[in-house]
Amino acid sequence: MSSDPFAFLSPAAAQDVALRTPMERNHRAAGAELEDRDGWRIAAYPPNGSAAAWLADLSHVGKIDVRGPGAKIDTLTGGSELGHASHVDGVWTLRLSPTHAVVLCPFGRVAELRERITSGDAQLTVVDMTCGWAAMMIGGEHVREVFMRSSSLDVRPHRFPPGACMAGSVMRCASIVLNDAGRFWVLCGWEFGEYMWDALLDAGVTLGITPVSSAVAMGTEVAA
Amino acid sequence: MADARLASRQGELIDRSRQVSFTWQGAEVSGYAGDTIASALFASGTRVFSRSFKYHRRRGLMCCAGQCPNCLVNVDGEPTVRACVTPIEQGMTVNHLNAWPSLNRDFLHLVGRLTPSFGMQVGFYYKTFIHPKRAWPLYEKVLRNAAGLGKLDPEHRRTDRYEKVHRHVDVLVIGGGEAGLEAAAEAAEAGKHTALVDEGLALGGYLAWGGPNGHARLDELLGRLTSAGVEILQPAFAGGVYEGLLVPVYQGRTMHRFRPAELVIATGAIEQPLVFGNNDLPGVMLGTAARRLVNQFRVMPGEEAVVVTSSDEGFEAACDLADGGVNVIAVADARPDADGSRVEDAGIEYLAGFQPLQAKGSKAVSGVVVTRNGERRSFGCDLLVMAGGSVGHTAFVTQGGGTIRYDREQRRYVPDSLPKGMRVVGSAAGTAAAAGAVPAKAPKTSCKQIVCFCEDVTTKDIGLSLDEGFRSLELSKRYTTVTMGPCQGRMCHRNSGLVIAEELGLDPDAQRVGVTTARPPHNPTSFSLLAARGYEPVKRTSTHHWHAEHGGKMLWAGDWKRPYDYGDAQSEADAVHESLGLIDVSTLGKLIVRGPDAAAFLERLYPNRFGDMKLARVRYGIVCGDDGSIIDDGTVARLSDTEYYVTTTSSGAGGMEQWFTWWNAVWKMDCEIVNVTSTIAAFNLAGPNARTALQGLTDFDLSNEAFPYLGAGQAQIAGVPCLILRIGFVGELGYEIHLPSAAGEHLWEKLMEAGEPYAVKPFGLEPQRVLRLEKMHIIVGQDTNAESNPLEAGMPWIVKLDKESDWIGRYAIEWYKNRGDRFALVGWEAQNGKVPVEGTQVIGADGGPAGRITSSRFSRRLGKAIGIAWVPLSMSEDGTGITISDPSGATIPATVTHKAFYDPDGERLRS
Repeated sequence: MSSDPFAFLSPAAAQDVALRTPMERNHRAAGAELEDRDGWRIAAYPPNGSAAAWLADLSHVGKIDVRGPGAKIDTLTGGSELGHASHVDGVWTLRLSPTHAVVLCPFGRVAELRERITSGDAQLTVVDMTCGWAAMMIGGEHVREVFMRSSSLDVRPHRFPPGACMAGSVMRCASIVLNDAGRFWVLCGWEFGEYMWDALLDAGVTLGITPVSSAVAMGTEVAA
Repeated sequence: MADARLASRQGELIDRSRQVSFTWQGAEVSGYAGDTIASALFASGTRVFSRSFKYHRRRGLMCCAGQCPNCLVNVDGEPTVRACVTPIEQGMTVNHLNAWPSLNRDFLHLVGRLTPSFGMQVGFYYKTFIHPKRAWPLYEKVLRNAAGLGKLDPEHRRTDRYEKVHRHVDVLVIGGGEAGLEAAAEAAEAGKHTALVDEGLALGGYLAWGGPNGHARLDELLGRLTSAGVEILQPAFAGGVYEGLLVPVYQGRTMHRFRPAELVIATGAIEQPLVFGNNDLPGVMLGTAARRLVNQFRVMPGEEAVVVTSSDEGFEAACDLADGGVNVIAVADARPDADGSRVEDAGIEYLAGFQPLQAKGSKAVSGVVVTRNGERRSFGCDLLVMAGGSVGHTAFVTQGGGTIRYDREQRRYVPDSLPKGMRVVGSAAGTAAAAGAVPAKAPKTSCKQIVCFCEDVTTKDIGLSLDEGFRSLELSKRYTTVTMGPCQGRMCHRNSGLVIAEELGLDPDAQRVGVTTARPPHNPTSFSLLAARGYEPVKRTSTHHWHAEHGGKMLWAGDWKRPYDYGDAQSEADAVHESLGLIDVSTLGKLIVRGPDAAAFLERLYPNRFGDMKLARVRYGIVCGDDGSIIDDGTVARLSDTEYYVTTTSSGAGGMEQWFTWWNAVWKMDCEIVNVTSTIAAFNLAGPNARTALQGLTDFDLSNEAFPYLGAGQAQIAGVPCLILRIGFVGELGYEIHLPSAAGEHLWEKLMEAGEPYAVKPFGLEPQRVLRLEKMHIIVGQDTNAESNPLEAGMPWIVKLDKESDWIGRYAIEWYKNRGDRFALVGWEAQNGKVPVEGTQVIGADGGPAGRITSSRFSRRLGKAIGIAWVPLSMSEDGTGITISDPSGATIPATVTHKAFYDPDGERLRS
């Protein structure tokens, strides 16, 4: 048995493998090019100006699930209150419950961060969930309108400001939502990824939603 | 032809500079922008808008406020649209409902003529059509064609898009009358995010339709709304109030699902009709309706009018009509002691203490007879205005969990207790002027006195229901359907209570007959709006598209889409037996159990042992409920001293996560449960050539010596980090490979390539079912049910009653053990090769049902029809002959077996 009993959960350990997001065929059907980047096949959509609403596939972003005693999670999250996330050095740490946090990071940093968190305390259960959650980002002027057609979660600006996060139902799927400077991350089960992608695009169709590249969504090239 | 209008005046809603054309029953009609369908049609001369529900009586405009059923029409294929609150649009097609062959010549009105000689009173069909029984399908067809309000065209393909939007606000105000506007302005001025819903075409309620006097106040309120930033949804209507103050608001093709922190009910009061003979003739109209036509749409509702009233609202109507140029002949006031000087001053004859007896006319009102203590007066008129007083609109209060009480002073129901977060303001709260005593009905007349306009329920119907023993409003409602129509009692609730009280000799002001519940939807609502965009979450494995692109017949399996087969299930099963097959089992539930107490935790959850498992080993386990029944099964692999990897059934993944998490919380054990079902793809490579094929993709030693049956190991396969479990659900040498989902399609393709020399075939669910049945492996939920315990299910070996720790289901299973088995889950093979239907019965010695077939298939490999069945203990011995019923009426002889049909000693699995 490997020294890391959960090594088989981590796509980061794959070698010469084309890692695919759940929405790959949607991207191809929509005319996107697929670019190889750090093992992932990532959709590159042609630029189309500033869309009133847009949707990007960020499933290749690293995701780490951390559970453990409240005090340990406090330390990890820097004492963030429930429903708040911290953003340090390109890494989001979401405090979802007293004993549960989720880390979003560049894919290339998953192994390092897992190691760092785990070595800090054996009481923490640290699982690479990069392939556990499909990740999407909704943005644009109509981001809230698109979201309100998708979920009953309250995302009014004063209730869900930048840096806020919550778990709840989006398109009837258990999801995690994060407000990243006015752009909304939506994380759902990997198996729901294609459904969620289609459903969000449909929700925003009358608002002019359009799929965009992950780099466009993040505002800059994302270091994978 | 929009020229029958009164002169322009401040406050009118129509824009006379913009004409809008639409069709009404095929003929083009014009109105002005701002007109409703009803106002435009009325202005163009239309007086009959619909036919009534049962008797197909002519119906004209009555409320002009979206309350009554009289103007329900079909608009562009959508039935039951309220013409009086629906704005006209260029090119819209409007047609009548519920008449055949036409609105003016409706043969179905003969139904009304049959009353009462043919027994068409309420409940007639219950009594008439029960004999002969075999004729019911014919009766039903005729009744269904005749009944209902409009029909949907099944061929009409809608292309309109309907939206569903979730909304959160601090304050939601329902009702845009004076009180609602004030409440909304106050809330918004206090900094609360406020929305206001109103179903009319103009805000302000009576400030808007009650004549020029209210316009200054309305302008002030509208100014405050604008300044404070109140969001106004109009025309839109609240469909109801649900738990947690959820309020669906329908606006055009959008349903807003509001969840306000505070809900303000400002729905005002609803003017009530009076009950008298022919009170539904076209030309009989509520006072507020006539005033709306005059003041908002500048349409003359009639040339000569009589007003019958029991409240001062009748005076207002009379004065407004006179001001609009209508010749108001008389006001008959049911109150003997009211002050009618106001109408007398306007030159109108005032009749104190007179109540309406009947309206005259056949196709429309031509006059009215009023009466006082036997004295009768007759008047000719083409407009009969009735003002029966108003009742507070409290439906939303009771729907939201509040209560109402009868206020004797006001003679109406008012809110009593309110749910948290709800507030009622204005007339709905009981602040309107008190109503006068209202006559329940007219003295005896041969004409129909309609109580419920939606359902055509008359005073006679209600009397009949009381005579037949339905002696309360609730019971009478169920028998007569009074208050059950589209208006949900808004036009008939009070009057039906009054009629019942009078019939029973009760004090009408005491209202001891009770109240009925007005249920959502508040107004007719299309299914398109209710459904809006549908959400149907579907789970797809990482190789979903590979399957579909390679002939996989994808079907729903729980929430997942899985391939049934790839075109030839039997050949796929043969491939597994003879060489190599590959199946996608990513749908299996997968949990990580980690922590110092992980082993102890599993010991408590499962009847079998896991604490003694060696590292890198796998063990089959079943999970039992507290009652000892089997609720799930799967495998458990030990990855380290404190870390286990658990698989569950595909459908049980979510339930098992909850089950594990629940007990972990109860026991407060030091372990964590993480559901990694989504994270991990899983494939089962099975067949005699599985080892050879797989070995080519990995350095991991797959030899039987290094990696025997029930082993678990991590390895790189084709560059992908994997966990390999050597287990075999399908009965051949097999490797269940677990890997990150993102690499799923990559590895699947590599495995297929590696299997090419061995003619590998992907196989679907159906061949898997045949293969597992050959091994007599059960499927939880198919071969077990809520009463199946592991002892009777043939798995006593898995139950470790000697375990030190207690475990879920132990008490019950000990009880089962002491009681002894009554049934047994056994295998069987048919003696005649026929495959019985799953779910069919095993026949007992007495010819009755004794057991049931849970699984059955024909195995080409074995050349037999085989299966699994629950049978009584007396029929469970190996070799016992049993008889299985067949839907064809024949029976199938079969023989019980206890051993697996295929490779009973597991040599191939362990090879």
